[in-house]
This record gives sequence, C-alpha cells and structure tokens, in this order.
Amino acid sequence: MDSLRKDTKGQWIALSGLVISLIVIGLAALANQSMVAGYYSSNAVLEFPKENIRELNSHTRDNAMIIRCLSLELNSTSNNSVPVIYEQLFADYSSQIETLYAMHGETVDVSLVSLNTSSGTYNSSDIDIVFVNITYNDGDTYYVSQPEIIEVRK
Amino acid sequence: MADDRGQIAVDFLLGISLFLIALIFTVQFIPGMFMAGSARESSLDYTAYRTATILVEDTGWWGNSTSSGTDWEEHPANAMRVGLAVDDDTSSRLTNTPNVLSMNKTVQLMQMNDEDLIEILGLYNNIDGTRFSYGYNISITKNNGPMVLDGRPVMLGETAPSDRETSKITRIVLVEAGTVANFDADDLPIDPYTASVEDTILNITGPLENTIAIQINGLNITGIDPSFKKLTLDGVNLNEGIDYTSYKVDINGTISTLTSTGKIIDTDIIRFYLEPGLLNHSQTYQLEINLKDITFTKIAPPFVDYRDGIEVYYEPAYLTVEVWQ
Amino acid sequence: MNDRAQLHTLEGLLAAILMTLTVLMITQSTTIVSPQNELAIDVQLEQMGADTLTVLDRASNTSIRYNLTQCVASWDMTEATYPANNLIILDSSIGNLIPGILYNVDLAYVDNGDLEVSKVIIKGQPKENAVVVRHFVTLTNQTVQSMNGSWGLADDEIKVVEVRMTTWTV
Repeated sequence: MDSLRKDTKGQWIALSGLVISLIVIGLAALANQSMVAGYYSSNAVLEFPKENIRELNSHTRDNAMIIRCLSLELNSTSNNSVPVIYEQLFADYSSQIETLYAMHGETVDVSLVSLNTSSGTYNSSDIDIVFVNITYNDGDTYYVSQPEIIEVRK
Repeated sequence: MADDRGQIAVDFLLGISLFLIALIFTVQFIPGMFMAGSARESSLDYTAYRTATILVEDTGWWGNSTSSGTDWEEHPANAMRVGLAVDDDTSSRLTNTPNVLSMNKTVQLMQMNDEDLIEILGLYNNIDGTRFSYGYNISITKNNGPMVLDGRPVMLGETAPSDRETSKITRIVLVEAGTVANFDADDLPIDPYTASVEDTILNITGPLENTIAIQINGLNITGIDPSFKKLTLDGVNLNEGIDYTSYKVDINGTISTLTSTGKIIDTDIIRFYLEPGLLNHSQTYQLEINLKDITFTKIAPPFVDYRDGIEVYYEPAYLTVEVWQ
Repeated sequence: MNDRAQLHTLEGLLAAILMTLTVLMITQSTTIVSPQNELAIDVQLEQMGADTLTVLDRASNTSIRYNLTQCVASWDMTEATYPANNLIILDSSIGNLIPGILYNVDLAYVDNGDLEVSKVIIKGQPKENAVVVRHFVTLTNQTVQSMNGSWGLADDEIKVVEVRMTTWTV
C-alpha cells in the first residue's frame, strides 16, 4: 500500500481520463443544445394555432355570405326585415361556433357589429359589407380582429 | 515530496491545453462545424416550412413610391414578397384565399432568376455577416409528375442532392390550370340537325388556341346502355385520342376514360378535352355531342355557347419545397 | 537552444490532427443518421391534414366532385361502424389527396343545445403520433336537400358542423 502511494508515475493516466471526460461532456453539451434547438422550432410551429385562427376567419367569411343568401330568401316569406333575420341567424351561428370551439378548450367570440349597404335599403341584394368582431384565445395565443370587414356581395 | 518522478504530466497538460484552446477556437469561429446535427437541420426545417407557407398562403405584395398591391406578377421588378395565392381584389391585403394558387403568379415565379428568388424568399443564412445561400427545389406535382403550366413544368432550383441532408415540406394546393366550360345537361338543346334527342350541340366561337375542356353534369339516363358515341365538329367526325379525349368522373371523383368503360350513370360527369388547332379560325364552330340512351330536352335555337359555361379550373396538386445547405 | 526531440513535437501535432479529424467525422456522420426529427414529421402531418380540409372546402365541383360542405350535407345521420364507413364521397376525396395516410373523421354539431359527436369514417385506431385538424361548415336546408342528406333542418335554420379529422401514419 505504501509503495502504491509513493509511486507517482501513473498520474498521466488519471489526468488524461479527466481531460477526456471533460471533452466528452463538452461535446455532449453541444449535441444536446442543437437537439433542443430543433425541438423548440418544430414545437413552436405545432403549438401556434395558425390553422385554427385561419379557419375561424375564413369560415366566418363564408358563413356571412351563406346567411346573406338565406336571409334574403327568408325575407320573401317573413314579416321581419332582412337585417332582423340576418342578426337572428348570425346570433345562432355565434352560439354554435362558440360551443364547438369550447369543446376543445378554445374560447372564441364572433359577433356581428353592423350590416352596411350602399343604397340604404336591405330588401334586395344590397347588403355588401358586414362588420364582425372576432376574438380567439387558446390560453397561449390571443387573436383579435375588430372589426373583420367582410365583403358579402359576390 | 522530494520525489519528483511523475511530474512529467505537466508536458501532457500543456499539450492538451493547447489542443483544447485550438479546438474551442475552431468551434467558436467556424460555427456550424460541430453544430452540424439538429441545429442546422432545424433551421433548414424552418426555412422549408416558412417558404412553403409564404408561397401557398400569401398573395405577395409589390410597391413603389406611388402605389402598391398584391398583383406583384404585373410588377415583378417592384415585388416585395412573392406568394402564389389567388386574389380577387389586388388593392386590399384581406382577400387572399390560401391554398388556391394563381397561374399567372406561378408562371411569373418561374421566370425569376435564381439570385432574386433566394433574396426574396429568404433562402439563405447569415453567419457572422457572410451570406450562405441554401440549395432549393420548389415544384408543383400531380399524379407523381410535374404539373405543366404555360408549356413548362413547374420546377424551380436544382435537383436535391442525395448525399446531403435536406429538409422538405409538402403542401396540398389547388392550382389554376386553365378553364373548363361546365354545363348542366338540362340547359343543353337537342341537336336540330339530327333531330335525335340523344344528341346535343354546343356553339364554340373561335379562335381558341389552347386545349379546351367541356364538362356536362346532370345527365338524364333513359335507356339500358347509356354511353358516349362520338364528337362531330361542323359535320366532320373527330378522332378519339387524336382530336380529343373523353372521360367520366364518377360520384367518388374517380376519373376513367369513356370509351373503355362505356356505361354512364346519372351521377357521372362527362368531360371532353379538345386538342389545340381545331378551332383556329375566327368563326362560330358547332360541336355535336352524340350520346346513346341519354336524352336532352331543350329545343334549339337558342344554342348554348361555350363561353357561357366557362369557369376557372383548379386542379388539386402538391407543392413541395426542399432546401439544403 | 535545445533542438532535441523535434520528432516528439511533430508526433504531438499529428496526434492533434488525428483527434480533430475523429471528432469532426463523428459529428458530421451523426447528421446523416438522423434525417428529420420526429416533430418535423408531425408538422408535416398536421399541415397535410389541414391542407386537405382547406382544399376540400375551397374546391369548386370542377376540380373535386363534391366540396366539404356538400359531403357533410349528404350524411344520412347514422354512425359508422368499423370497417364500414358511411360518408363514402368524403372518404374517397380525402383518400385521393393524402394517399398513404390514415384518418378518422368525426362530425360534431350542436343539437337542441346539446353537443353531438358522431364518427363517420373509421380507418382504425390512431397511433401515438396522430394529429387532429378541424374545419367548420355551415349547412342550410337548401344544401342538405340538394345532396339528399337527412339532417332534417328547417328552412330558416343554419347548422354549424365541425369536421374533425384525426390523421396518422403507419
């Protein structure tokens, strides 16, 4: 035991072991860092609800046109005026879409602001621009479009 | 501690320190050498994703000191962003339709030179102020072959190298691929010349230089062997396979050639493609479509003109962006 | 001036070069082994799914036989049981766009204030890497009637339906 303590010839083995382990740690850290970078950029893409927001917008636009057609059609058999029918249908749409989004933890609010017409009468196909407020919130991302201006005359 | 054997390791320590300093120096000043793994790959992923998203979902934008708009294809020299999405109102930023690509924009994109394209799509990486351009390949394909627009296949950049790592993203799009004249069978008249209820007639005003597509839906089946017989242009029989091709599209969207499968059912759509060169003159041609056990009801005149049914035809296709170092 | 052991210096240099080359070779070769990380594949899958529904939604009937709204309108209100599915026109449209990718489609809608979710296309049990994409369509009695569906809507009623597609690869 005593001879082993006095023998100092093998120090380089211990030292090189230390140095090599330091190199390995360094390289591992580098490799790890790059892996984390890859994870974050893909994850950012996955987590940002680009498609959900786009779909909320584009579906609201399509829907504004569908409701316009339907309310002009209903007006011929109903006592209510076109704006009244439009507002009723749009309120129905808002409540349905809010329920459907709430099902997967997203809060949306789609509400009608105003109907605009170039001639001042709503009886024919005069409604041309509809203003709608849209908000979207999934906890991380908050999106607002107030007002979303929709051209419904095609 | 009088024994100083073994202290020789100081030399080794000096050597390894020098080596490590050199290594750290190299790593610091040539970035990307040891970070070769996922870091560079993810920036490639990101570039591919971003490029595909811009092309598919953006209309692009041009501007100079006096005006601006989304119709950058008309002003390629002032283009600020290039995007391929169609737009019906070029002065507003709000009317784009994602995933529906414009033919004019795509054709203009193909005419841009390599350098401009790399610059405007951001297909490069800045490392300490030095610009490294990525290699790229942007293509639109359908049925595993490149889509042809304006006589050229849509294929930009180089072929992806097989020995290097690339990053690729594919988007599904609808590409404007010309026009199709779409008619409901109930609107088409009985051919007054043959006086057969199984024949109809369509006026086509020339000159038309490109391939023309005609589609008929809502067919009225009245017999046991509903099928297509022939096409006649101003009394002259056209040759199947040479002058035209004919297809039917069934309810599931499956396309098959008309002659080989014969039988047509009422939910099918029939479609004809007339080759260029048949309608070169400035006159009104009359195309007779002869069918069997499928009847028309309207009385001619009036005739229906090809131009009345014309609409833009969008074809489903895949846009692929592939980038590499 | 000690000019002995010059060979040792050269040897040291050689060793340094050898070590650098080894490290370089290892770092460069690992790159080729990992082509794309798993999340990048998820991004591609999610994008493909979202694009499929967007394209079906936007298509006119000259490019794809029936668009998403028409497909949903034609539904006969009965749930699918594996392996049969009961929205064949939607199934074939999706299948044409994303060959090689499996998908389940559910429809969700509000009925008398209650939320209803029905399976209409079942291709199997989703795998671990499945992603969900959603699209919305608005039905009116007119669209339903023209597609012979059985939604039974009143003339003054609109129905918002969520088309939920779960996609995965094998």
